[in-house]
Amino acid sequence: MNVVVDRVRKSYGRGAEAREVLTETSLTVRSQEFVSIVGPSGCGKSTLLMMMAGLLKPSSGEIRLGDEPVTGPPAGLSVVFQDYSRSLFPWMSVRRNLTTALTASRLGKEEQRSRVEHALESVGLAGKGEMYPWQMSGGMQQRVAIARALVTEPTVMLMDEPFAAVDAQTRADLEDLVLRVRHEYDVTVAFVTHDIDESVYMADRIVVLAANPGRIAADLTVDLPRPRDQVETKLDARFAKLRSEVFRLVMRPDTPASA
Amino acid sequence: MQTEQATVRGAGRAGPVVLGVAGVVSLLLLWQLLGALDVVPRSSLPGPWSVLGALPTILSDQDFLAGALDSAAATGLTVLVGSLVAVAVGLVASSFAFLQRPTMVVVNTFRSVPATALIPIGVLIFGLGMQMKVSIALYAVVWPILINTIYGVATTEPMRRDVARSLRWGWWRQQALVTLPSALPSILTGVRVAVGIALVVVISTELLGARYGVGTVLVQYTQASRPEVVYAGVLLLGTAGALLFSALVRAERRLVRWVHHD
Repeated sequence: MNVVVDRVRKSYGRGAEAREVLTETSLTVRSQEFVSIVGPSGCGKSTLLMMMAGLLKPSSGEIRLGDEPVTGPPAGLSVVFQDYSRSLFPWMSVRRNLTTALTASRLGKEEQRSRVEHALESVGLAGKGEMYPWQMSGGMQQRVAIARALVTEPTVMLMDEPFAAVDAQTRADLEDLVLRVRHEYDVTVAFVTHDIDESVYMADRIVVLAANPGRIAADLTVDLPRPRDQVETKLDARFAKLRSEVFRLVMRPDTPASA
Repeated sequence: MQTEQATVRGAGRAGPVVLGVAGVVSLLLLWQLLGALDVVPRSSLPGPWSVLGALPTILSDQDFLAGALDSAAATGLTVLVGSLVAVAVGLVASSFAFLQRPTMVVVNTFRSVPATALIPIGVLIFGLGMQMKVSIALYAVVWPILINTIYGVATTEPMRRDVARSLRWGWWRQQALVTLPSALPSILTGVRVAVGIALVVVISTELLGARYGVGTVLVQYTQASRPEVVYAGVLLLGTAGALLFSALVRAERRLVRWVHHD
């Protein structure tokens, strides 16, 4: 399902004190697409994602999921939050964290169970359902958060800097995990990150935002072959070219593009 | 360095026991000394041996045992009802922004009135039975639990609220699965404080007129000039209180296991 951001603007405060976080912005994430949203801090990338999630109201404009305007968190859309330690429920076992995510879906007991087991298996946590989040490493906890997002079998998954808190090796593992489950679950992904390499490695398309006020600076197509590979993909000349292009846009927005 | 640490850690484990025993022994010595030097007359403070000797008397006194049961029931009922009411009110008051300020004003006004000052009024309204004890004690315990509930709810991680919203949970489910567990450590602290307060207030009502309870029995022994039995009763109450307190701390740790890892 398409996610349409239609002339959306967000500002905080009123009158002279008003601060515009995101100027009028339009963007369409097409069905099955993987879009990275990258930009410097303060560019409004998380704000944009939270508005797409229905957790934040735009100051003007409209978000649509398919043809339906988003006025609150919609069905069929999941969010993976930035910090697993603050987004999982530590008083619930891993299995219960996943099962409770299904309450709004109104499924039968048997269907619930099989969905939970399948989601755990998909993220490599089969048999870990009885553990509690605080008994797990950071990487495992973020896998639980991804499984919780997938268990509802969403059409759209929004990820807000999901790997900012894990070490480099775990990060690479989790990136490949997301690329794998994305196909397994046929899910459209909008992926916010501040990591330039990650934005290129993951995506079909990169939306680069600029700050003060937040706006779209570029919309780039990633023509790298799939499946991606942490070594091979990053050796590709096209990867290097895209990477430096995004780097220039994010870090030195005032210099013109080199040929 | 390592051995030093080991010693310190070893002392950390044995220390409290040794110090505790030493504390009790020196207190007993001081107590004996006070009597021996005639600082306090025997009729007001009997020696430790005569108090310990009175333990069988009080423990076989049917009135004391029935009274203890009565006091325990009043305390238990107070804490149970008080917790349910205060937690429910706390959750509701915290959920709606417009209720927060008025709630705090009410809390701060009423909790300044000492509950024991209300005993005469309680007697006038409810008489000398269980109802009076529990009503007065309830008044004393709801405030600390309510304050701790409101405080606990305020510490709820905002991201977890966002998760609950994005999972499209209704108000009840959010309260039960996010807000209440988030506030639970703070609520349990409030309940632990409330148990102590309830015990104090219940026994106060008994000393000041209630018909049944340990306090009533202790007053009777005071009037019968049996101070050693009174002290034996106080000793038993203290021991029971200490055991209850440590049981509560242990229960609390089991109930909120995640806190130390969060």
